[in-house]
Amino acid sequence: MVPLTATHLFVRWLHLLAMGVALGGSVLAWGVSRVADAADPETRLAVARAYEVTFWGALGVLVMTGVGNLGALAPAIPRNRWGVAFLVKLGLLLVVLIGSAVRTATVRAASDAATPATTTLQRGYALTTLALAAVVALAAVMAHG
Amino acid sequence: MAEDAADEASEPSESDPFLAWMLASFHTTTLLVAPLLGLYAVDALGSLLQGVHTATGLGLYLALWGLTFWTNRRWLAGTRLDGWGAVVPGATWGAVTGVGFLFVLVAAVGVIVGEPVLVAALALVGAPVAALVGVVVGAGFAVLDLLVVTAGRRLGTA
Repeated sequence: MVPLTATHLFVRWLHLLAMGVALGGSVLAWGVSRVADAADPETRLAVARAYEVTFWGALGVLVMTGVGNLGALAPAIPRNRWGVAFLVKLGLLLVVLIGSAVRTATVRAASDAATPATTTLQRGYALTTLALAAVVALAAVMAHG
Repeated sequence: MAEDAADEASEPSESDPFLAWMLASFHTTTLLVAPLLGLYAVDALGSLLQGVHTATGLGLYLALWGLTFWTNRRWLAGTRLDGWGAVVPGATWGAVTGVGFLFVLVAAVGVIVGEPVLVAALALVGAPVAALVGVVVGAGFAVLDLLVVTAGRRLGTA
């Protein structure tokens, strides 16, 4: 294994920061979609659109720095139990990516709609929060398990 | 009003950086995560990553992300995302992305190795292959994007 350098530490820090933004933002968007006045869909949609822009930036950084973290382990990337957690994490991430693309497209369509489906968005953010929390749990297993 | 919204939704999205940003990020991340799964499964990931310096890898990723954002904006500027007619332009812009990324890649190799003849040969031989791969990937993503946007339209209206 290559010893950790300042670059590797920076990449890890960025990775954690990006996940904090993605997960924290989804909790916020979920919360706003629950408590905002039902007669005020504009507020929900404004928060949702801002989150979507931030989310895709954070996901891009997460994947980029995730590969950077793997590079720090190369060539001896662990297998066995770590490998199972890693494969499940990547599989879940693919589900999150496709589901989030649909969620963002839903926010875009809701912004143009006369009667936006705010309940659907609320469920979308709940699912996103749970899925990202599961990804964090798998990351904890890989780091300490 | 709802009909107006539906009409607007099927217009080319020239001024929709929101959608372009989502699609570019979606494509870039998926393009990396899916092969990672396969490479790790066949135990080829470690040796591949060992040969790439961290800063070089980050730079290549950012180049792919930026290039994909630009090609998605160009694609969306001339495409109605409401039918299979979007697939052929998607494949074309996929080819542009593939060749563009190849040039970034060989430029990086050129800087690292410092062999202009090798770089020129790589670009020459690799361009048709990169274009072909780009066509296939671009068409695949165009189909996926159509499904995603259609699902969003159905889910977004109460």
